[in-house]
Amino acid sequence: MNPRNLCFLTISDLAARVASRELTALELVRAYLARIDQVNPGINAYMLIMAEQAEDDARRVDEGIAKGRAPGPLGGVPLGIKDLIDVAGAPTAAGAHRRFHYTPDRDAPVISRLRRAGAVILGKTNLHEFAYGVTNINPHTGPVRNPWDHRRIPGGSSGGSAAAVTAGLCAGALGSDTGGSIRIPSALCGTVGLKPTYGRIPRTGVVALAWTLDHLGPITRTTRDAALLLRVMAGEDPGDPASVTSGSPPFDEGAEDGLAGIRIGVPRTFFWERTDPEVHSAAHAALRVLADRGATVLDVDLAHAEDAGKAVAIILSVEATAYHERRLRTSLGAYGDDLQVRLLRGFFIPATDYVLAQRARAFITDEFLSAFRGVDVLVTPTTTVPARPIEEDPGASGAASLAMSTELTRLTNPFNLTGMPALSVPCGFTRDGLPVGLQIVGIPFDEPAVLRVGHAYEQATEWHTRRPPLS
Amino acid sequence: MLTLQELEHLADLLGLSLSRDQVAALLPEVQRLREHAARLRELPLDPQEPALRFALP
Repeated sequence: MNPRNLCFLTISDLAARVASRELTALELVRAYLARIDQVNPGINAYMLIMAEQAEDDARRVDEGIAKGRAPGPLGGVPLGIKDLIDVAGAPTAAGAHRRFHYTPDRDAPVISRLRRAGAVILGKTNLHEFAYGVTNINPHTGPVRNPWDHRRIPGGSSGGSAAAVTAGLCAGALGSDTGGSIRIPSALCGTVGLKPTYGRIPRTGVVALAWTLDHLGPITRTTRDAALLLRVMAGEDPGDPASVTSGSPPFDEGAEDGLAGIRIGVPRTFFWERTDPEVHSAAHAALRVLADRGATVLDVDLAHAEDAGKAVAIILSVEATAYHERRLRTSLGAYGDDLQVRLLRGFFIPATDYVLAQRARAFITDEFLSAFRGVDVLVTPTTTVPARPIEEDPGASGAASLAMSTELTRLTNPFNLTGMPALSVPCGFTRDGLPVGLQIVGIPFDEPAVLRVGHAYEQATEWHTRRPPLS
Repeated sequence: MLTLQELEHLADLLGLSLSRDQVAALLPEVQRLREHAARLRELPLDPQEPALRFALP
């Protein structure tokens, strides 16, 4: 097979080929490393490429298979890891100034679980500084460029992960999502991104942004691949007090059942307002596809949806400042311009306002849960707009970066507040060739419903199969 | 409405050594977050505790 085509196969397809010895894990890793050499300089998706370690890990997978050992569900599958997740022996940089880097001596639990399943770690992917922003214009590492148009942002903060997946520089990647940081770059880069239920995947060994809003999740080419990675990574870890003993259910259960009997709620106000006409049109067309596949589409009312973003802004600002306080007091100049504003503002929010926002969170979550009484999932656009030009944020200036965060997290951060599982799948392209994302949301711990709808949509469309015009 | 001078004073009280330009950059953000809080105070939150927990299926 042409090495380029190999780099765009799904995770389950690659794992099956390695397991059947049609392909060795080492051949696969080398195909990806060659493509990274060729493509990464143009998009800056990877910060660190772990070629030697990846080849060694791939050899171990091949040796195990040769000895008759089952390689695991991810045997030989090359993955990219957002560079705020600990990988033993590799610096965790978090997209920050070098004085904040550290080198862990052990893998984060999610990395251990992926390795046990046979995955091979290719490297660490770029991000917005400390994951606190959506542009991925980073004063320390340079901007990540959208593979569909190098003049545009990939979205963030997991922009390197999404760019790497869409450019064929890994089979799948890990991201983190505090206000939309998995789903936004997935929408803007044309990948599948899943923010699971809060607590589903443990965050031990991950640089925090805001403890009560932080989630980890996969970025992939298909919902089936996202379900596979979720299954491997889910489950309690004693290092993360928010993690839950959810086991590893087959998250794609029912995926082949189509959408008969599925009720889709459409929150017309707020989530479908102030959207770019092309985004609105693509997402609306997706609703018709879902209805054609057998789903019942119903209007739902989320009267206080707009207040969710306000509560998120307060909670995020305070928690991020608390996490960074010591560094801010000693090393403020080591943060980029937009980070200084984002992090300093939290000092000026009274404790009473933080508690107010957490009480509002409980109120808004109750309202969202009530909306689910008559539907199985909610569907909205993932973002209001497609990828913005990098030039709109010259030098990562504070005001422009902050404005872009408000705009791009508008439709995603309500589900960080409510902890609900939310998936972004590609649902079209603008006339300029930029991807558009569709967001599918479920009640807590009902990832199977979300993935079932996403998978059914993929079966009816070809958006997720398109590739950017890279060499 | 918070003024630049008031925010500078608050920064001093918090032990932050910020330039006038840094405080000026912060002012619209702090103001925005205060407006968010004012809006949230209009919600009917009397019965709400600042915590929630989901049940596993």
